[in-house]
Amino acid sequence: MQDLSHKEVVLRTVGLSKRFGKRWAAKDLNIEVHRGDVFCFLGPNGAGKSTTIRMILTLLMPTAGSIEIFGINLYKNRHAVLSQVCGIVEKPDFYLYLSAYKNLEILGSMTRSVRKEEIMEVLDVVGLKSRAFEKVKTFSHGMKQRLGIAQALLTEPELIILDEPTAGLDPQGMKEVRGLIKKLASEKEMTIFLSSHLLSEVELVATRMAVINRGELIAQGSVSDLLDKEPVEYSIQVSPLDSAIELLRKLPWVEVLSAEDGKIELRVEPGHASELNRFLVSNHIEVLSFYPHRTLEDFFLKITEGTSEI
Amino acid sequence: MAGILFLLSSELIQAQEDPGRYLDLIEKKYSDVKDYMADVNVHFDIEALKAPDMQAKLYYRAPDKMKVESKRIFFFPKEGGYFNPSLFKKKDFDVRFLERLIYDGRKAVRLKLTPTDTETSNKVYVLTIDTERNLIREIKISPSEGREIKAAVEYGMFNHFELPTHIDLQLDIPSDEPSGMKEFTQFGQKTKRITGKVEITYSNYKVNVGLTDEIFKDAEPHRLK
Amino acid sequence: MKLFWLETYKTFSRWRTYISFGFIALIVIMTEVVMKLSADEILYRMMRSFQKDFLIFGNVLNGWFITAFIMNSLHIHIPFFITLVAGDIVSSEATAGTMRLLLIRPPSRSKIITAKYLTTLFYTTGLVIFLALICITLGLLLFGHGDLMMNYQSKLRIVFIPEAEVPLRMLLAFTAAVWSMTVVASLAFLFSTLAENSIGPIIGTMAVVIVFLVLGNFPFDFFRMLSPYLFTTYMIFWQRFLDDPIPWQEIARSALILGLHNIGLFSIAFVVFTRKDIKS
Repeated sequence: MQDLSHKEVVLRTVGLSKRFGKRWAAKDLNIEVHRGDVFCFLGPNGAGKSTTIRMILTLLMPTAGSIEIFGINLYKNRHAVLSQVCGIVEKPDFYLYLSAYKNLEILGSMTRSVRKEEIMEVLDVVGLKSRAFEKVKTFSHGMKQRLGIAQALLTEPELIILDEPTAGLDPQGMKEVRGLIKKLASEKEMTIFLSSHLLSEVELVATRMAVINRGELIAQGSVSDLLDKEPVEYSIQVSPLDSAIELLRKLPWVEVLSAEDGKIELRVEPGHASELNRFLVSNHIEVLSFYPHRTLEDFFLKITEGTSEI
Repeated sequence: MAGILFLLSSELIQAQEDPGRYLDLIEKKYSDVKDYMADVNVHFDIEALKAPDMQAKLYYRAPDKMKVESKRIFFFPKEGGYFNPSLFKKKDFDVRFLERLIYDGRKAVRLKLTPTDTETSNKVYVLTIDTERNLIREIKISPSEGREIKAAVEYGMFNHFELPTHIDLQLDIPSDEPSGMKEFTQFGQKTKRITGKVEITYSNYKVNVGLTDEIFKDAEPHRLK
Repeated sequence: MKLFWLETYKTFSRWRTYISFGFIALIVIMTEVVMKLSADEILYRMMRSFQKDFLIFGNVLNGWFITAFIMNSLHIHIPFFITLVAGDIVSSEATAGTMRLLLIRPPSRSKIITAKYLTTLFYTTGLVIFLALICITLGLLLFGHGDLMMNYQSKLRIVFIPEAEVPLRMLLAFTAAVWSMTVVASLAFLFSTLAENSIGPIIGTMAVVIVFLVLGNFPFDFFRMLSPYLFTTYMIFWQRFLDDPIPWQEIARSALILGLHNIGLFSIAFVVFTRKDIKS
């Protein structure tokens, strides 16, 4: 387990809840995001992710609970807090009748004075410098998404909140955004809080994550710690096959799922991956290939179906 | 007996008197007035017309040319507003004697003038004439179309002519309300009336200056349908 | 102030803002041209009560008169043009999704809504001033100058205002007209805060104005009783500056009532906006 006690908590929610009528969209959420995290917020559709993000960004008033950013209560010192925060909620919408440059100038100047050079620099970072003075209504969805990231970066916030940042992008676009997120976290030391449905992406960028379902937090921690708690499936090629199958079936921490075409599919309890390889070799079984199938998606589907205890 | 005879003869004399001769005397008095010009000041004391005093220059040439010159908007009464000695000619009216009276300390007669040509005019006038000076002191237009206008005239001496210095007009005329929704406060509707006074003051008379036709070109006020 | 200028920039960057100015110019030009051609008919209608007994000289149909005449239709077309912006200034951000971008910035919602309201008032003022300038300029060019004659037909009164007094009175009248129109703007602004699209606030505001105008003008006792409670009754108080004598007390009362409407309407909009959940 990663020791985070030395790391500053940038965002903390305590008992954060939101009710719409009789329905609880978010209930008693206790989230901690540490400085430098790329924190991912996962959940199925309607789980409460957007609701939570909107509360953090003061678009929704919480029914109960508190939000602290940089150790300051958000609603008691909103101006000071939000001066260091920026974000995108759902798809980024801009003033279509204004140029990209003008949009950024207006939005940026609501936080502080922004110079022309700063605007052009962030447009360059997101690859829109050549389109700076064109009206946003001529932009594609992907370009607007990138412009959204540009506006989030413009005032050099310490915390960036992104709601589905790669939504609607093509694979190349997604790759660029992922790269940008990693770069912001590592080079600019920004803390990033993002929600996404693309679990494979989260696995590639997130350092910590929380899973929400039906408004309730069901898991929170670093990605590796969370995944290490789950059995992992492997696909191995061994020789001789029959002997290996017989030996594996004797192990209490292994479940043989299938064996055909020279391949065995196994499920191994957490913490026994290296032991498996040693066991086979010591029993004179030749290991030709050894591939884990451990994915975040499996983990996610499992816990949101309520089949695992964390 | 002598007294009765005297009275009877006085009555007979009165009955045989030609009331039209008073108009002849006035016409003769002003026969030498060919034209005049004067400064006019009009003061309104009418509830329906809130206006400051209006000033203009008035030009008159016998028998019927009149022009008003004003740099600003100027309302001028059509009836009794200016002095036209040719207006009351005996030949144009059927003159009836109404009474003798004392007006402003002087002997006066009251005459009723009915136009002989009713196609051109149907206005009936009642004139109060100062017979000592042969001056029209009052003009009253008898009710026609529900209109009542009364003018009282004062005179001053200008170039040996007695010309009006002050005309007081009393108006009591019906309004012409706009079409459309009228007041529905009660059954039946009363026609509203415009009442009040207009005081016209003349000064700076210049008489017989030789006003030409040129001056009276474009003399029409606003043409109204 | 910065927020105000940003909002003003956004408003005046949209071409639809200029539709209002364009149409006002068109209406004024057309009206004045038609009036130039129909001058006699207009004078006849105006002078009907006096023409039988008075000769009328002078430039009655002058630029000042034309301006006052056009101002009398102020409460018909100007409210519509005002609602085009006032009814759109908040709701369009909701429709476009830019509200999300706006409200996650450091400035508080109260500052943002106040800036938008001030922009609405600024636009309203600009529109009425534009109307004044174009009316007066074109009117004086086409019809010349002179004393102003105001015909209050319902009261059967004609009021003369000497030309020397007219400019100041017109200034006061237009100031009052601006004040009147701010109530329409405030109403549209409130509706804009409540709605998520612009059509509703525009139509809603116009519906209220038209219905109130109609109800307030019915010559029946019941509606006369209702009339003091309708803000449209006070919207024409600008006319009082063109009366003689100027009824200062009546003007002050009307201005106060309209001002209270502004305060009330903005207060509701303020509370709604600062507390509403932004779900779109």
